[in-house]
Amino acid sequence: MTDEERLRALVAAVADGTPVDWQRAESGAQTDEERALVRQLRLIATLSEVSRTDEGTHTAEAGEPRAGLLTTAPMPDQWGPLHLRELVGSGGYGTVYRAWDPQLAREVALKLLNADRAEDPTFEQSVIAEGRRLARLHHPNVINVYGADTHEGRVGFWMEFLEGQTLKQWIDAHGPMSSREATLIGIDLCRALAAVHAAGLVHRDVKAQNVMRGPKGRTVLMDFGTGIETGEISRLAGTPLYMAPELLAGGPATPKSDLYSAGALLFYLVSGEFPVTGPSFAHIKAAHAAGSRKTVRDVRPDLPAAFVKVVDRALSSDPAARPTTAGALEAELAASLELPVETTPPPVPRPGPERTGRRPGYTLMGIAASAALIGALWATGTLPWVGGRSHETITASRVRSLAVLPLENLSGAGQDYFSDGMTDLLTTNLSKLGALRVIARGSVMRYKGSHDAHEIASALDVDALIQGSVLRDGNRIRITAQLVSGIDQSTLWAETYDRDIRDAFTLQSDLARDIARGINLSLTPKEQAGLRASAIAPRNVQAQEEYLKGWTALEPRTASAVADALTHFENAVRLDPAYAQAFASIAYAYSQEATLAKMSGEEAYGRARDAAMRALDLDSSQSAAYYALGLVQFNHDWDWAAASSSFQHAIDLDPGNADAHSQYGEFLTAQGRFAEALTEMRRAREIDPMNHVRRSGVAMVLFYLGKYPEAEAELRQILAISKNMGVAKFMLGRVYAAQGRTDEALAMFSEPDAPKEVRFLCERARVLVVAGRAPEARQLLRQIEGSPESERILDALAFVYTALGQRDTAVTLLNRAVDARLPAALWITVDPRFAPLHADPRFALLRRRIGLQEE
Amino acid sequence: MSSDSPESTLVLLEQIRAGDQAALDLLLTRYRPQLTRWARGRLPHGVRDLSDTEDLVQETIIGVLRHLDHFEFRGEGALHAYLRRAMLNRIRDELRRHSRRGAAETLDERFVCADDSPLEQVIGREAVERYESALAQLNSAEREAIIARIELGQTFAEVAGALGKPTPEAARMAVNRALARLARLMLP
Repeated sequence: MTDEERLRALVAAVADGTPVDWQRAESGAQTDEERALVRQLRLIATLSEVSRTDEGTHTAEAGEPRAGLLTTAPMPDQWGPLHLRELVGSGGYGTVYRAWDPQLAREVALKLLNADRAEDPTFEQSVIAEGRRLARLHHPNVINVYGADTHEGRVGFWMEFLEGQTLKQWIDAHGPMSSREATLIGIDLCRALAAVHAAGLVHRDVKAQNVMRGPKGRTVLMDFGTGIETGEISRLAGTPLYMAPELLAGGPATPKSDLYSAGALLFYLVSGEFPVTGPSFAHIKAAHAAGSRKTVRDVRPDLPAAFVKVVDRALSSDPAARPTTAGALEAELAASLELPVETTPPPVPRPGPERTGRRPGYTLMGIAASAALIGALWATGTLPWVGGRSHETITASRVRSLAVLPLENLSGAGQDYFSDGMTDLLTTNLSKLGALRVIARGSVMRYKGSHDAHEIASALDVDALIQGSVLRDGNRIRITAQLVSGIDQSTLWAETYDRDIRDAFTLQSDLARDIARGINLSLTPKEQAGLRASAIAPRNVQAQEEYLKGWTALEPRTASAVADALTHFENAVRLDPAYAQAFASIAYAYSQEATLAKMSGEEAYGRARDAAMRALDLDSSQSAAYYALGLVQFNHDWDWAAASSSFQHAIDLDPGNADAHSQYGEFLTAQGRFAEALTEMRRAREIDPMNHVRRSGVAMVLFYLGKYPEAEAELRQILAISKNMGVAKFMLGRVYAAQGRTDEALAMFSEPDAPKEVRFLCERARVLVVAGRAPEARQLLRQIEGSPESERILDALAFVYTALGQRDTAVTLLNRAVDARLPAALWITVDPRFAPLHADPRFALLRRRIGLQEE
Repeated sequence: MSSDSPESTLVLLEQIRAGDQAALDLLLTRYRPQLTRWARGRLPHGVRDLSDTEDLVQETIIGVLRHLDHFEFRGEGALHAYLRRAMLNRIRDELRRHSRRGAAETLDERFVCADDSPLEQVIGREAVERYESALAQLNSAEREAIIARIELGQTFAEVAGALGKPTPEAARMAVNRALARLARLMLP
């Protein structure tokens, strides 16, 4: 924040009458003049309080300044279990803080209601009840509320902390938007409202300040003014500019009045104005009564008629004239964009036998199962289009996160690779859908053969599971799939597919699309194109077999597994030289080999690059190829810009790929872009929660951010489950060392499963130096330098010498590391162990050598 | 303060000029509470013992409203500022009257005594004077913005009405700008 911005924010706070931590404001001032200005503002704020307060001035003793007038209350440190970090904003209801939840080990936004209102017990209870109802609501476009409670007489609820801008901030900064953009936002908003309404709630306060535009374009509806409220025209619940006329007239809030607000928001997004306006509540109410309003045409005559019509309809004064539901409004909006929309509820499925075809030879579970299933579904009434459901169950249309359990192999021995391959394909296809969170295969594999849907869904934190089976008989395959609720294990959707083996990929594409339809998930045109592309059958079935075998072989992720996988992939491209996916897989496999070997891996990287380029020549949408290319460009070419671009392509093409997020996170860390890195690592963890490597990625970035307690917490959680994870122990040691807890650090490094390679021994030596045990350190150093591996760890040796104060030696070693193009050298700038060298002019030279610009 | 349009205030003022008592009562109801709050902060305890603040405020308002011949109604904001000035003058009169009762020579600028108003006790006389002086240096629109929002605590919607701004947001921006200028003018 610049001085200008700081002052402006303070001025605004004084004008708004919001609490200010004056001590902090004053100490944050950079110049004397700024400090003096802050003091004047404080005087004015005090004056304002005295002038406006009703009570008390005449009760004060003469000569005694009233407590609380000179300072507004300093920010509290703690509320219940949450650690308060920073005041984010406040408004009529209360104050919002950025806080840390030590139990969840994540940042949350805490909304604390004003203390005076909390004294009314009925109010307090109703707020908490509402908060808890909100907490049960899960939807990607609705802010995730974690809980509501009372502590020390203050009611609060905590929710996910969103980075990004509110729509109001966005419009203030950029001006009105196009109808297309507004429509896309409107569609997300309608989905959010549909979820809110389906939970039996009415939002009541839809406005531009309450919709957040997060990173990666996620639109999130927030509640209870968690955005900073501006202006006093907010009164009660609801903002008159957005309020439906029936509400202004005193009627109750209904889903229809939310739809009016949505319409008003759309109006505002494209024009910066409102349909009905006025300087006060009374004015607006009167204007509505008089019918004096603007239409969309009045403010934006250039907009397409379809859009105008939809918005005007939502803004109808008569609730009955508005769209019937949020879903209906969403459909109208989508239609106005000419998007093919899949928002109508799925039709009643035809009974089993018809669908699977009359094939008397197949007396399989498949047919019987699906017919029985459909029958069962009707009987229990758990199909989404049958009425009657409570908040507690997941309906198909609300599933927004799922895990694909390994499809059961019904084909007999030796065919596991095929069913695993099918599972993989399905997982990949589904994970490319932006609005759906799909758990990575690695985290799900452990549940092979398990049937406890509730337990699995809780462990992975998903709404539902996909279960099913694969049967292969000669040239025919049959796949069955069911969507099972993670809460009550009811089957929400089911389908069977019976195809020729050549159509396996088309089948998978259809399956993914049907699942999306089954859960009322709209696909963007790009996603639809992606599914169509994945349905293209390879020209050679054998090649396809080899490809699937390769992916199964890769799973253990060891060096020998990679070698095996490569054999299969090479076979695949030999059989079909135009097999783009196989080339991409080769690239991926070689990049893994290079990383595992930890050498400069000239050959491996070279082959990875060649395969990646061939893959992209054949098909530019191969995410795995971009991923591999990124690794080559980063670790081998040291081309930061190119690597960044490649990683971003990889993620863009396959947002559900945990690897890509992890790797990009590492890349960002090396660049010093820690906050972005943390986002990527967290995403990887979200997708692949059972994979501890992902969790340790989060811990790593926290470490670089200097958030040692949080890093420690993360690592402890990993170790609680995976007690012998050597890398985690080592990282914990580094965290201890950074905090000066050298004894504990050294203990960690001595753990039996701590990595023994020379690189890690170097850290041990370094900590010995820091602990004041230089002689032992030197002895260890001699031992390390005597080993043949020492050429590979020049950078690690450098940090020991740095700790010893021998800067010349350290710098020489670092330059040699750069000469040898060791990938580890890329991290020199961000590694805190080289901090003592930063002031040295030779360090700046090193930075330039590794390709990072001067700051 | 209820948020009525400037037109209705103008109408009421006309009616008051014509001698309409009901109109006077209405405006009194509208302005008295805020001005009383404001005045309390500026009257030392001693003074208030002598005359109840509310009575003082009431008298002042009535006095102003009855003698509006020289007052050009540019808007509610202007009326607030006018009332405030009248109030301030009245308070000063009271203080002089009080001090004439026997403590004139001891009125030292820097001496915090029972003669300080609550406001002065809290931020000091010197600061209050700097504030008043700075306020006087603002142009009338800025001054009205400060008075309406900072001193009288009106909502932005009401401030918008008072200043003749189209929206509360515009009023808020006007207040912010005036505040920034005020703070600069207050620098010692």
